[in-house]
Amino acid sequence: MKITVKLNEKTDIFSIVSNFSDIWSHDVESIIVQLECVCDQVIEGEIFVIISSIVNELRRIGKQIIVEFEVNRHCLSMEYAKRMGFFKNLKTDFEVILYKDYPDQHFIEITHLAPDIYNLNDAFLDIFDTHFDLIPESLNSLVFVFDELICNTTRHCRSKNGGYYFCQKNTDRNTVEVIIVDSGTGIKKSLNRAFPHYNELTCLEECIKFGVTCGDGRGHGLFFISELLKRNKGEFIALSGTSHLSIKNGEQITGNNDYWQGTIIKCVFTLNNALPIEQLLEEQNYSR
Amino acid sequence: MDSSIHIQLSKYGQNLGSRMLGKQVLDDIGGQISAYSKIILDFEGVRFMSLSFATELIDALQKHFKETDIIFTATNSFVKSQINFVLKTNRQVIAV
Repeated sequence: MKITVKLNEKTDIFSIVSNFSDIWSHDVESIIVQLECVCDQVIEGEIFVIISSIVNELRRIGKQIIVEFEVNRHCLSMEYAKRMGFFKNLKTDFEVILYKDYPDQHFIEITHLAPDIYNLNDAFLDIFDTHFDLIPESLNSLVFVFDELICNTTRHCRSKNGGYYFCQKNTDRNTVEVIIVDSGTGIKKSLNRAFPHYNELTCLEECIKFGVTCGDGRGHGLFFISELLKRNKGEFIALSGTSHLSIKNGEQITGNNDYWQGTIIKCVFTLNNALPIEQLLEEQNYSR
Repeated sequence: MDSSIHIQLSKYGQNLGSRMLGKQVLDDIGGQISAYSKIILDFEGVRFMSLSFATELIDALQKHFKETDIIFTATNSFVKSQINFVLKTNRQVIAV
């Protein structure tokens, strides 16, 4: 089986998910993933995280994966991918040479989150302090979000391969973007333990409500993350199975997509509108 | 019984994250608490505390040591907001 992935500036989470969705319905031993990249177009970081996640999950379940590249190895997109740790995570010997120094690295490169890891706050705070230049309100909120997302991935989603995360400060947009991708049970299966009658879309709508939990926690994590990003005028995307929910400019949209085994969460903080997480926590009237 | 036990939480790190760590703190101190009427949780040197850590520790203390007063001290504004949130949304109501 051969999967051709065309990377260009229009490639988004949904198109990448669509590229790989057939894999789960074909019982094949060997898969060739061919990556084609239009030279020097801006490719969003999350694309490389999702590819890293799926390739390594397929390897974990015993598939033979060959990754081929139809790219100009000197293009800026490939330099960016290398700096993100994309090729290292793919375990490929594809060589990209950086022709320029990048002294200010405003990101946490693509990192595998082992299923038994539960606290990375020291590492995050260290990187955020050193490279992100954030005001305390943003810093606390960001660590809060990371902590909750990692807890969800390692604890609730039961991903045998853990997950992959990436975080980047985008100085042009003045945002911090976080993406975490896993290949676990997905939100529906997780929430169905407590709410067996919910369908997939309902699960996505419910999982960001206050106090909705699979029974293993309080059900506050995704609520606060989505609420924070709503008020922060940021962006939140949760994609799981064949459904997704996104919040942008305060507007919530749900829809269907091609199948993804597991969950993808993307959060975009707007640093111009830093809202301390403390403010949300101290509000009085939370109820289900 | 009119005495207190002082727990310096910074010995677990300046960033208190995860339910697992909350459980570990509870395992470490749980055996001693019943001998005291008051437990002082000292957050001096603690920079960050996750909601899951706070929930695990505070919920369990309230559940298992109903007769013990819990005092939270040296909290920064972030830690304080987490504690207040856990207390007000707690399934159990106790006096602190």
